[in-house]
Parts: sequence; structure tokens; C-alpha cells
Amino acid sequence: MYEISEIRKNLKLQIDGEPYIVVDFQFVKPGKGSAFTRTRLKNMITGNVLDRTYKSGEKLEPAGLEEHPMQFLYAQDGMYHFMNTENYEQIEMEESQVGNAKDYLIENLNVNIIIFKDRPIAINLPTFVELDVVETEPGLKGDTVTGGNKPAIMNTGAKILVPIFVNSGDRLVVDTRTGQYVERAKK
Amino acid sequence: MLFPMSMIQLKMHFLRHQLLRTIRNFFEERGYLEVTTPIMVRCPGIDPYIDAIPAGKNFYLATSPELHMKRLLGCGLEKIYQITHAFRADETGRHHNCEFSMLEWYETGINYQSLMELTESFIQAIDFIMSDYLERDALFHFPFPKISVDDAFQKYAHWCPSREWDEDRFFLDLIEIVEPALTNIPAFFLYDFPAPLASLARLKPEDRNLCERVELYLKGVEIANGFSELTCAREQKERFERDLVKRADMNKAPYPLDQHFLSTLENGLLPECAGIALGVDRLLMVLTESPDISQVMAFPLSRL
Repeated sequence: MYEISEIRKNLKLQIDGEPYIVVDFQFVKPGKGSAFTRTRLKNMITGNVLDRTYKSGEKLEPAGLEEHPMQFLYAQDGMYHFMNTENYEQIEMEESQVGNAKDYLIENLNVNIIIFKDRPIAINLPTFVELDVVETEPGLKGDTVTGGNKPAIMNTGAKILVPIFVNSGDRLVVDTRTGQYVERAKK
Repeated sequence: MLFPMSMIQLKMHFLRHQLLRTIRNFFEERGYLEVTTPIMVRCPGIDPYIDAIPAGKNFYLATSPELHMKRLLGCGLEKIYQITHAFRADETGRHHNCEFSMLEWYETGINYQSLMELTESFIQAIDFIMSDYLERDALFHFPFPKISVDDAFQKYAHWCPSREWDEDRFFLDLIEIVEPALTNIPAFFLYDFPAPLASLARLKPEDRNLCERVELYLKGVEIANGFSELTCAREQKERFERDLVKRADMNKAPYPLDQHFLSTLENGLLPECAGIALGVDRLLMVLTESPDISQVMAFPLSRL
């Protein structure tokens, strides 16, 4: 169990049998009164936001999440298939659970999957992934200086902004936290 | 490495300086004596919800200068103030820092009604002068509305704390319902608290379910807390002992009773008086419209 004083951003709690993550919190203490911590929590499955106020002395239940290393295998009919790289068991996730992570899921990518009560609920991606450009306007040869961006479609279907000099077929490093172009991959 | 960017704006040091000067001028002009009381104390006060920071064997950092200042009133001083540091364990947040600046003043021969008038004049003076340095219009209009605790709770939370006392419900409703409902009033006094929250305030002679306690809120932030002071030794001792039991029930450290303070009361040396404690950092926060107390302190806990 967590103490109220342990509440931090990103702390994961279980409330009414559902996993929540702390997105914001505030210490509140009226004069001559007991202390409270006001929290804003996000349901890790539905994304719904909940405001809760806790009195100091209350105890909070940890979400009890497990994180397993998995490899992305393939997507078919809206289901995403992964293999646990420790025990080789396969699991599947619905597209709605995969969320924005689908923009970065290339075959054989190693990720961590968060499991809540035997149910996969979220994917922790590596910070950087390498994606191939499948479609973009032809680059201006030799122009690595001029600023400016153009849209490009990647092999996962993701649309990102890339510098003018990038061509179809290029392999790029992309930041999965921001969805932004980082650099051309080293060959 | 910490970057200088994490420091507060240079201008804030200048504004704090001007604020302290303005405070001292205000009290100087009204014949108040600036006093000094210890930071390291034996008896940090018995409030069940305030925990002191130990300062070596048998000593603590002061959580408030209240008892010492009242002992000075017992020595014959009539109008006193000080700007000191107070320390409270485990209080850190947007409006809290374990160590903070506190302005506290007392005047004999007045009650909490006159104290509200004086506090209002004080804020008026500060607002007027600081607006100049901040190059904007004054923040507050006068007079400030005065709202009784029972009225506020009956209007917004639909119950009457002084008649159906429930401590947990009171504080939860205060922060969840009543304070949010009142935040659009730029400045107001909340007064006449239920008797169980009297702390060191005297009970209202005409209604013993209430005490003569007042809090000032500016821009939704609790800025000051004042009382018509309790001068009855027997009643004060009973309250201390009740609070000691409560602390024990909450598994909190027992603190010694301040016998010097109690004997000041027993000997009838504390005259009728009123006093108020005001958070200087919070006042600076409100004046500069800063959302976080660490933006007005050079060295908050996070930058020690």
C-alpha cells in the first residue's frame, strides 16, 4: 500500500478494481485542519479522468501492474499479435488498446507490455524506433541546410514531418514520445 | 548541475524587499513595536494537525511565534509585530513550504472585529504601494465581504457546522465545495468558526458554539488567521490537554505544554487582545499572481 505522502505524478493505483495513473496532484491543508492531497487520475484502460481527494493517513492500493518484454509479430483484422520473449507465449491486443503505438509497431520490434489482471492494457515503446519512408515528395539533392519540413508516410502508415532532403526509401530515426523526426538512420 | 534558470526572477528579490519595507512602515506608523522571539523552542504548540521539526534533544523549530508573543503581551507590551520564520514538517505544495515567512501582530484592548478592520487597512496599504512597483492596477476593492462559516456552509454545502459538528466532513467540504465556490471573490474574511476549531481563540460570549476566529482569503488563497485571543487559563489548559490526547490518538509525538505561557494566563497577565498570523510568501504570491510559492522564494525546499 502507498501512503498519501508517496503520491507522485505517474504513480499507478488501483481504484474500484481499475488501474489509474496519477496525472496531477496537489497538497492542500486548510489552516488548523488536516492535510489532504487532491489528485487527478486517468484510467489506464478507458482514458477517463477522475478527480479524487485523499486525507492524510489514508492508504492507496498499488495498481499491481506487470510489465513483460514482448516482440511485435503482426497485425491482422484489427488485432495486434505479440510474443512474450521470456516464455514465447503469444498474446493479442485490440487496436483501441494499442492506441498511438501502432504508428511505431514494425515487425520484430521489442516493446514492454503492461499487463493488468492478465489483460494487456498498454505498450511501452522504445524511445527511438527506425522507420522507412514509403512516400514523400522527392528531396532536393545536397540540400541539408535549408530549413523547412514536408510530410512523409512511413512503413507503419504513420505520417510525420521530415526535412526537405529526405527521400522515399530512407530509413529514419523517430522519437516515439513526440512522433518527431530525429535523424537519418546510420547505415 | 542546476541551471540558473531554475532560480526565481531577479525582480522578485526587489519586490520582496519592497513588501517587507511596506509592512514595517505600516506598523511603525501605527506605533507597533517590532519584536523578536526564538526560532528554536521547547514547546512548539499542541495543534494536532501541525508537526514540528525537531532541533536536537528537547527542542524544536518554531511552528509559530504565537505563545512567545503572547508572553510579551503579558509583560506589558501593547502593540507588537514581527516578521519571522516558521517551520512545519511535511508541508510542501503549491501553497506550502516547510519553512516560510510569517508576519504576526497583536494588539491589546481590541477584538477580532477591529482586527478585521486593521487587516483590511493593512492589505489596502500593501496593495496600493505594491501595485506601483508591479506597474498594474490595485487588485482589491474595499471593503472586503465578511462571510460567516455557518452561512458559507449552509449556502454551498447545505449543512451547519456549528450545530452538527463533523470534523472530517468539515475540512473535506471546505476544500472541495466552500473554498472553490468563494474563489471568484477576490478578497474576503471567513469568520465565526465552529467552537471545536477555536484553537487559541475565545468562544463567542453570545454563542458558545462559535469562536471569534477569522481567516483572510485573497484570490482563493488562505492568507491569514486571527483570533480574539483566549485569556482564560483553565479553558486554555483544557484545550491543550484535549489536543494532546488527540495527538496521542493520531500516534503523533507528544509536545510539552508551555508552562510559562499558561502561568501568564493563570496570573491574569494576558489582557484582552487580538492577533493574526499572515503568510508573507503567500501574500507575495498573490500580489505577483504567481501560481506556485516556489516562484516567490529564492530557496524553497526544491532548491536547497
